Amino acid sequence: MSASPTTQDQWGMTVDVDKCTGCKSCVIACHAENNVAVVGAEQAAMGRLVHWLRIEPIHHGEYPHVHVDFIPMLCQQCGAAPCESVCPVFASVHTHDGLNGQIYNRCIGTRVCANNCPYHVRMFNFFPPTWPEPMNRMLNPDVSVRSEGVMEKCTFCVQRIRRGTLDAKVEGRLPLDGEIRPACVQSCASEALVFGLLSDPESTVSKTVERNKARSALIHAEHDTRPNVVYLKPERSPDVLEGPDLGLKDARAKEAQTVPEASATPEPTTSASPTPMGSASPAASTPTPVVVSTPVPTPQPAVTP
Amino acid sequence: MDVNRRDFLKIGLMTAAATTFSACGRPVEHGIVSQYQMPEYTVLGRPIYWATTCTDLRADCAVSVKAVENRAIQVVGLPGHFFSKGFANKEAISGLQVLYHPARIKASVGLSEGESAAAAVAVDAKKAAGKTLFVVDRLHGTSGHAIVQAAQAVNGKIWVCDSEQSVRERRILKAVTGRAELPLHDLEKRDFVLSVGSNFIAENYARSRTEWAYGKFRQTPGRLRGRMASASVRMNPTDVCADRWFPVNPGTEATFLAAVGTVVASKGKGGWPGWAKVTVEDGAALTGVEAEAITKLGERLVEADSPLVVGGFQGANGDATVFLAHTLTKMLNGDVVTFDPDTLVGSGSASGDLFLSDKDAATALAGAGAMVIVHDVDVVYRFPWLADSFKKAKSVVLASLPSETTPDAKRLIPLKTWMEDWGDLRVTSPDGEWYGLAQPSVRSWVDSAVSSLGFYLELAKEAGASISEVSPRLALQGSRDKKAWESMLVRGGVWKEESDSIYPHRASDPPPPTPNSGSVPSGYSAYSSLSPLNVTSLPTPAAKSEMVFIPLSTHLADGAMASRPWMQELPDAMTTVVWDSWVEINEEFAKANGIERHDLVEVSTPKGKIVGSAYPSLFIHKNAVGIPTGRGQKQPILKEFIEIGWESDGSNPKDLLDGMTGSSGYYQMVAGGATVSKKEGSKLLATFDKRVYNLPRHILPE
Repeated sequence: MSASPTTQDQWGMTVDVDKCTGCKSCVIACHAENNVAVVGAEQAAMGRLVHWLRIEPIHHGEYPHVHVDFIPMLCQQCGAAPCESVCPVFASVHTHDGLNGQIYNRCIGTRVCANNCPYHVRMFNFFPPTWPEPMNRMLNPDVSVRSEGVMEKCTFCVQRIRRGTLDAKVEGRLPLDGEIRPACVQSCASEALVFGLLSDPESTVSKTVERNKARSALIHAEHDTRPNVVYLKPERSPDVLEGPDLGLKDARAKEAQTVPEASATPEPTTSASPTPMGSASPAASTPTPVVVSTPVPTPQPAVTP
Repeated sequence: MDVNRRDFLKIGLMTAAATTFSACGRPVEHGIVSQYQMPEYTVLGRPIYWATTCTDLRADCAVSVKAVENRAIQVVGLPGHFFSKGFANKEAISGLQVLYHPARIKASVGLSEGESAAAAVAVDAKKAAGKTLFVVDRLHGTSGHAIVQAAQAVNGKIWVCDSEQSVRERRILKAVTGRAELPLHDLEKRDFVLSVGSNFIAENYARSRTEWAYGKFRQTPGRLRGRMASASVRMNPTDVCADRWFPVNPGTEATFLAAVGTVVASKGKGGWPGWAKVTVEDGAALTGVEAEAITKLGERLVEADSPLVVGGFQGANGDATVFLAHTLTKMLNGDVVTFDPDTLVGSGSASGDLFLSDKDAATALAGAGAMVIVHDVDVVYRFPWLADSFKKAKSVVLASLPSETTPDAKRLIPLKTWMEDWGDLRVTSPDGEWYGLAQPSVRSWVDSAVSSLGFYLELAKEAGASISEVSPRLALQGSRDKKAWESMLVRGGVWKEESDSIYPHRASDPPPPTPNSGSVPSGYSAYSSLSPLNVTSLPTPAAKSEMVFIPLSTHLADGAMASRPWMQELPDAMTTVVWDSWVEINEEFAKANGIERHDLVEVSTPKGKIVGSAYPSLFIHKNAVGIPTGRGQKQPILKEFIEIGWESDGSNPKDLLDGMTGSSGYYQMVAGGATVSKKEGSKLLATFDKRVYNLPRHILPE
C-alpha cells in the first residue's frame, strides 16, 4: 500500500537541534500521555526498551575536542512510509491528515514494519505490559494499552488531534494554530519542538521551516521517505573562541543592519478573530524543507532572519 | 409490615417527588474548585484540570494536573505562566509515579493509634532541649515559615541539604552582591555564557524557566545567536549545550576562572580580587587548557554585551569556583541578577545561625541526645558517613516512599505527595512576584498519609509558636474572602500572565486559565541574615598524575528519583545506560589499561572500593573516574521493581567519599588518590545502544 502525499492536511513538526538540551521532559510526557510501558532492567538490557520518542546523543570529534548533539528521534510520519507498504494486514496505514496510523487490533506482530523503518522508531511488545497496582490508575483512558505481540509507535498524539479537531468542529470552526499540541511539544520548555499543519503556510510550524531554510534537514532523506519531521541543524561554533574577526558588539551591529525589522519574531496575537489552521490551499503550499549538502558556516554569529 | 397496592403507589410517588425536589435544589457546595470546571459538572471520561504548583525536587512548576474520575493521568504546564513559561519538566510529570507508587508508606511507625504525629514529635523536641535538628531539602512558603517557627520555639537548628547546595551559594552571593539570594540564569538576555564545573541548565531552582531561556538564548529570530563555552572535568548536559567544552584537570576549575578573570581584569575591568590573579601561562599549565584559549575566552567576555559566568560546586575548589564566577559576572555587568525562589509566607525573621553548614549538622547529629526530624530526604544514602550518627539519634522521618533512611527511624510518618496535598510557594524575582498555590488534585489513596503543611503547622503550634490555624487549607486561605480564595484556587495562585512566545493560540489541553485576581501574600526571606562566605585563596590543585573520583550527577538526582521507573528507563544524557550503575573512565585511559566496556573494574579510594562495569567515555578527563549518583540503594523498594537500580549489594558512589568538609564547612563531593584496576570477568550493562547505535552516526546531513 503506497502512501498518498496529496492528502488535504499534513501534520508536521520541526525539531530545533540547537535548542534541545536533552532534558528528556518530552520522553516522560510521551510515556505519561500514551501509556508507554516500562520494560525493566532485564528487557532493557536485551534492547527491548519502548520509547516512542528518544533522545539520541550523537557524538562528534575526538577527545578533547568533542561535542554532542541531542537529536530527538520519533516517528517521522513519512509521506512515503516504508513501514506501510510492507504490512501484510494493513495495520500500518496512512490517514487522511498525513499521519502514519497503526491499527493495533489488526497487527499480527510480524515486525516487518520495524525492520523496514530506517529510523528505528517502531517498538514491539515482547511481553504483555504490566502496571502494578495502583500504577494502573495513571493510565490515560484516551489511549489504548497495547498488548503482547503488537507493534506500536509515535502517533503525534492522534487522540489530541482528533479531540481538538472535533471540539473545533462542534464550535463550527477549524482548529487554531497551536491549539493542538502533542505531549512532547507541550512539555518542551526550550521550545525546540514546534507542531502544526505543514500544509498551511501560515502556521507556526511552516513559518519555522521557512525562517530556517538554511538549517533545515530531513533525516535519511536519501531513502525518499518524505518525512514530516523537519530538523533544524545546530549552528554550533566549535571555534567559538577563534570566532570572527569582528567582536560580538560589531557583529551585533552588523546583524542589526542586515536583519529587516519585519522579520523579527511576530508578536503573538491573542486576537478575537483567530486564523484557522488549514484554511489555506493544501499540499500545493506545503513548505519543502531543504536538504543542505554544504556545511553551515559555523564561525560567524548566526543571523536568523 | 403489610403494604397494599394503594400504599405502595403512595410511597412510590412521595419518593419520586422528594427526589425531584432535592434535585431542583441548590447544588452542594464543594470545598475545592477546579481550575476550569466545577466538580458537579464532571462527566465521566471528560478530564478535569487542577491548577496547582509542583514543589517536588526544585521543579517549581505551575502545573495543571489532568484528572479523570479522580485519577491523575498527566501533568502539563499552566499556559502563560510567567515563571515556568507554561511548561512542566520531567520532575513534575514523573510525580505521577510517586503518587501511585505501589511501595508507598501506608502506616506510621512509633505512634500509637490515634496519636497525633505532630503533638508526639513536639513533645520529643521539647525533651531534646535544644538538640533538635530539622533536615530538609528546602524551605518554602507557609510550611517553611512553620518549620522556622518550630525550630525557633524548640531552640533547634535547620540543615538545608539540597543537592544544589543553595545555602552555600546564597552565602557566596551575599559576599559578592550583599544579597543572600540565588542566581537567576536569565539566558534569554545574554549573548555569551561561560559555565565552569556547573550543570546549571539541568540542575537549578527554576528548571523550566532556565530551559526556556536557553531556547531563547540559542535561536531567537532577529537577534544574535548566543554562544557558550564551558569547562569541567566531566561533560554534563549543560556542557553539551556549549559550543565548545574544555576538559580541565581535576580540581582546577577555580584556577581556570582565575586565569580568565585575570585576562578580563587586564582589559580595564576593575574588581578582580588580588588573590585570584593568575597569569595565562600559569593557568594553562595548571588546568591543561591552552593559553590562547584562556586569553580569547577573556576577550570574548569583555566584548560581549551581556555575558554570564556560572560556576559549580564540582570538586574541592567549588567555593572558589562559584565565588569567582559570580565576581566575574558582577565585574562584567555591574551586578549579578538574583532571585529568591523560597520566600517564606508569613511574618517573621530568622537569624543566620538558625541554619547549619554540613559540618555543623554532622556535629549536631553526633551529639548525645540529639533528635532529628527528616523531611523526605534520604540522609543515609546521600551521606553514608552519617549513617551511624543517624541510627543513634532519636529520629523522626516523614517520607512517602521507603529509603535507606526509613528503616532506622524511631518514628516514621507517611507523607502525602504534592499532588495530594495543600501547599504554597512564593517566588520573588526581578520579573515580579509569583505566588503558587498547591491544592490536592486527587484524593490520597494512602489514608494514613499526613499533609506536610498540616504537620508543620501543628508542630509549630505545639512547640509554642504563634500559629492561629493548623488546617492547611484554612491556613492558606487566611483572611481572604471566599471570592478571592476561589479565584486563587481556579488559577493556581496569583501570577502575571504572559503571551505565548511561539504559538498565536493556546493549547486546548489544558484550556486557557481564568483571569487573574488577588494579591501575593506577604513574605520574608529566611536567609537574609546568613553570614557571607568570603573566599580569599585559591585551593591547591591535585597533583597532575593523581586520579580523582567524582560522583556523577544524573537525572536521578541525589537518588530521589530512583524510585520512578520512567526515570530509570531513560538513559543518562552522556551515556546510554539505563537501570544500571557504571564506572565511567576516559577512553584513552581505558585503552592504555586494556579495559573495555562491560569489563569489571575496581575503583578504590582511601575510604573504600566499589566493583562495577566499565563504561569508557569521551566525556571525562583522563585523570578522573566517575560513578553515577542515584542508584545502588541498599533498601529494595519493591519486589517487582527490584531491578530498578535498588541493588541489594549497593554501589552508592558516596561510599567512596570520606565525608570531610572544606574550610567553609561544606562537603567536598570528590576523593583524591583514586585508582582503577581491571578485575576478572565482566557484567553486561543495560544500555540503550541496541537502538541508538543502530543508526548511522551522522544522521543529520552535513
